[in-house]
Amino acid sequence: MLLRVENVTMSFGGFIATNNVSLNVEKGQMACIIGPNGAGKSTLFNLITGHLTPTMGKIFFHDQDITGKAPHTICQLGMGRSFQRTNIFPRLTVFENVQVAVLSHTRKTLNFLTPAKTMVQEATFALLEDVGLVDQAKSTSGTLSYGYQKQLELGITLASDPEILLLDEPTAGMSPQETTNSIELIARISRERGLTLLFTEHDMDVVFSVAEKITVLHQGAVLAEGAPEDVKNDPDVQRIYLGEAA
Amino acid sequence: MATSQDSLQDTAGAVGKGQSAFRDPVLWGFLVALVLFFWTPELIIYMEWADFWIIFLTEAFIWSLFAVAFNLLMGYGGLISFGQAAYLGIGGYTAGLLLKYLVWMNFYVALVAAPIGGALAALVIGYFCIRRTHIYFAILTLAFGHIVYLIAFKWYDFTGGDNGLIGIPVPEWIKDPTFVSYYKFVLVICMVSIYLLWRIVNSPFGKTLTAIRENEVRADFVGINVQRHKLYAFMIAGAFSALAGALIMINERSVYPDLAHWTQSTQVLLMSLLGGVYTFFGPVVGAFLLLTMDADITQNYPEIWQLFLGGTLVLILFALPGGIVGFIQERDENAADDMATRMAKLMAQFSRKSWYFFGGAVSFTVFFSILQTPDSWWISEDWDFELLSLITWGILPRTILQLVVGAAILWWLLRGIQSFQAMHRWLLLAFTVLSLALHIYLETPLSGLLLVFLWAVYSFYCLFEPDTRQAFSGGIEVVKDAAQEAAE
Amino acid sequence: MVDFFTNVFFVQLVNGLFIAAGIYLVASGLSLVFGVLGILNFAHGSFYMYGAFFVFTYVGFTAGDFWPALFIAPMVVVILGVVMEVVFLRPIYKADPLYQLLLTYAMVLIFGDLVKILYGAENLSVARPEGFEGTVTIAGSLFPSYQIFVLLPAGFLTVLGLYLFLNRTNVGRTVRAATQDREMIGALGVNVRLLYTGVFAIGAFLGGLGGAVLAPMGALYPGMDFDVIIEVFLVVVLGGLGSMAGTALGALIYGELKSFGILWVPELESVFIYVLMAVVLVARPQGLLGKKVEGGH
Repeated sequence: MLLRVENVTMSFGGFIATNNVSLNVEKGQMACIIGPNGAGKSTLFNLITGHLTPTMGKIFFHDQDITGKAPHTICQLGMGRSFQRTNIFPRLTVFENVQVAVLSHTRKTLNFLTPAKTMVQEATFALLEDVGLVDQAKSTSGTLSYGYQKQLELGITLASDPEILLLDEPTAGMSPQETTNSIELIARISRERGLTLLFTEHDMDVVFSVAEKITVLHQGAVLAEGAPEDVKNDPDVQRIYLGEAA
Repeated sequence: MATSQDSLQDTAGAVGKGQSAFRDPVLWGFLVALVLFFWTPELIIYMEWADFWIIFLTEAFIWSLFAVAFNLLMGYGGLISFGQAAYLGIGGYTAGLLLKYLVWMNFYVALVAAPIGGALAALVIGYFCIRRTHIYFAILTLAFGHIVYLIAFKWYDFTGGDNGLIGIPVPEWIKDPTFVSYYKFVLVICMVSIYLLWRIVNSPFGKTLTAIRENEVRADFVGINVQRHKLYAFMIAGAFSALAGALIMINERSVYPDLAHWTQSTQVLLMSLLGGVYTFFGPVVGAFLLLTMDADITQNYPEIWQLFLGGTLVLILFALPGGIVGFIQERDENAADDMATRMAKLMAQFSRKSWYFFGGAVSFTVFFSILQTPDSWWISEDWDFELLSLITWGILPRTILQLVVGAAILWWLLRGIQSFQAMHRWLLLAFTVLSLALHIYLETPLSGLLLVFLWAVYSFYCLFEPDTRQAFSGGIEVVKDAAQEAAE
Repeated sequence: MVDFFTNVFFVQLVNGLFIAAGIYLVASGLSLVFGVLGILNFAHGSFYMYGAFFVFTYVGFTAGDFWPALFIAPMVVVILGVVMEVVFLRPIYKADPLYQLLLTYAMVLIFGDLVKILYGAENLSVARPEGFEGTVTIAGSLFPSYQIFVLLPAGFLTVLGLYLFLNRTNVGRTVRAATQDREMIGALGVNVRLLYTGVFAIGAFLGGLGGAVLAPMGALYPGMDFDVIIEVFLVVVLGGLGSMAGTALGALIYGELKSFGILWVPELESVFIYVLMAVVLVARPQGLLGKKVEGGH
């Protein structure tokens, strides 16, 4: 078991954001978390990646307890993450964006005197090639289109050579065309690299086309879990989603 | 696809792996500047200019070092410290106290102790400050800076309180009455330090720091230990600031609590902003500009110096947020542009900026004319009709002449530039150099000179770029034709 | 002997209250402005300075009529404040908070030199109003009567006035809502521009009032703005930026610590308060009574 979330509860003041959530992700699996707005998806992500510390419960990665560890430590253990709002270094070039991530992964950031320009070029360009941004290498990343920025963020995330990729709404705000491209890109890369994937998504077509396992969160608690077909036919899930739609 | 990769590797190749650092053009730039400035005092003495200028240059280099160190935090780390002068004070007092109280203390050991003291103090203070960002960081650094000031100010038994530490023993050679040897000493130390800082901001550490400035949350989740990097940056800035402080102390052979006062912190902040925070050399330009303005204004009008500073700061914030060097370097570029479009854009921008420089130079001259001879609006008292000695003309006729003649010539030249006429390129360069010469001849205040000088440098910088050179020597036609053919 | 110690204790306690009341008068305006506008106003010290100098002018003109100046001087400061807000701050509300901070710093420099041009660089002083020059005896100790009968009530009335304004009036409730959630007030249908200008004016008034009340207690000189602003920052950061109750608590701690600190370590009494602030900020980054800061973890 690569990632194990055990009975995690998080409360802000009196408000309970996640309630006794347990979740397992196996190596190589493509797992998805769905649920209505405010179900606690982003909170759960922030708990796993160390941006929040749970009130109760434990989180294990590779059977190692990572509860309450700092985000940069968790990242170094092999967890990559993309954020819901694009999160890049806007005034750096595309090349520098990825380069910094590679430097960090190879633990070279505490080198004070070597010119950085020439360092880790091959690794950086290999990553840019993977996410299809070599042509943009010299552009200032903040000026790129939204789709490109998302691709860049994926590149930054991959630079730390993660085993598991946590993607928070990877297609949010994209046009249908961009969504298709981006999902194909993510699927291809995780296949090639044998990555484990845990993502949240609002677009059900995307979810059912990619996910091997789906967890449904509702009001902070796990409502249903299982293979896509089972979840689709679960009466509780149907009630929430169809009920909301109606 | 391959092209951009190659060109990136080309530019990087200049300092390629395992190759000698001596192929780094920046290092050569530093060495040339070092040689030029090293012999400047001899020139000053030979020309029989005032000794003041040697002292002035000494101070300008020390402040440049301080400003560059400060900008490591502000420009590269995004951390605005309002208490950087504390390290100036710590450096000054560390070296000063060692030299004053320990008779056997070696001068050079004391000088090395200053940056170490600065780094240690920054380690302690930074531990508290770097946990917070933005406004809180600003206030915390301000408060800790004030503690340092208060200790220096109030602990009479140790620091001498507001009487300061005076009569600090220094080697004989520093007491050279022409100030030349100390100038050279400072020059070498500052150049080497600034070069080291240049290496630091371009190292992986520097890049990481920029990434943290850009997006702390993201940086954290590419595995960067944000707090630790910030703390190191704080220590590096503290160490070099303290070195600057020790140099100031040795220059005056005394040290007062005022060295650590927060008004000094804001002075250095202003230097960085004026020169350009997102550029490495901006703070150096800012330091020279601010100090010359200081010399120009405080000499005669100390009561409006702060007013002037405040006005300048407002002007920068509203009109020139990138500072002067940022303004010069700013480019409207798009990776997708072809050569012809890029050049056309560049020249359009060049024209626009030239007008700004022209406007700036004229208003500067007017401002200082009014300061120096407030009464001679139309004609000055010792007027005699000499075409060249415009200084005896009144402020208004002189300004009108400058505006009309200058603008007409500039307009004509820039029109030629925009249509890539090779002749106009040379004429424009001559024009900027001539205005510089004219200002020198007319004895414009130094800050005005510096502005015109920057203008000339900017023109050279733009018009002598390899691409531009090619465009002006007919290359642009070829490029245009090729683009047209491709379009058809 | 015991009597002597209780006496000293009592005197220092009351002296601490004096200091607290003085600093609170100035700090409350800064804290209010930060709470609503999110701007840390360096120039608040200048408002304080102008308040004091305008009292000097008014008292000079009217040959010793002090009391109206307590209202008129701050009102003139309000005009300065509103001009500053409308002309300089309004265009950059959307900019980086640090740019706003730098802009207010530019105003400090400009205001500072204007005072020098208007009033000269020498120390000036304002005489205490008639009937308050002497001292009063309370529990066997002597206290200056101006501090007892003017400063303390002024501080107390400001606390009370702000409390009633923020809790009992509609405008005040809006202002308080704005300090809780700045993003939200636009959605409430409030004229944000007017609210900002209004709050800035109140802040300027409080700063000017502080200067006016403190004017007879010390020398007036260009540079008094610099001296006060750091201490004011300290107090509001200690109490929690934007929290009015926090500011009062911060002022009280500041006053008492300074007053008793003088007793023990006369040379380094001010260092105490800085150390305290550092400790508080590490243990409780948002200040003693401040709301939780976003983005911290």
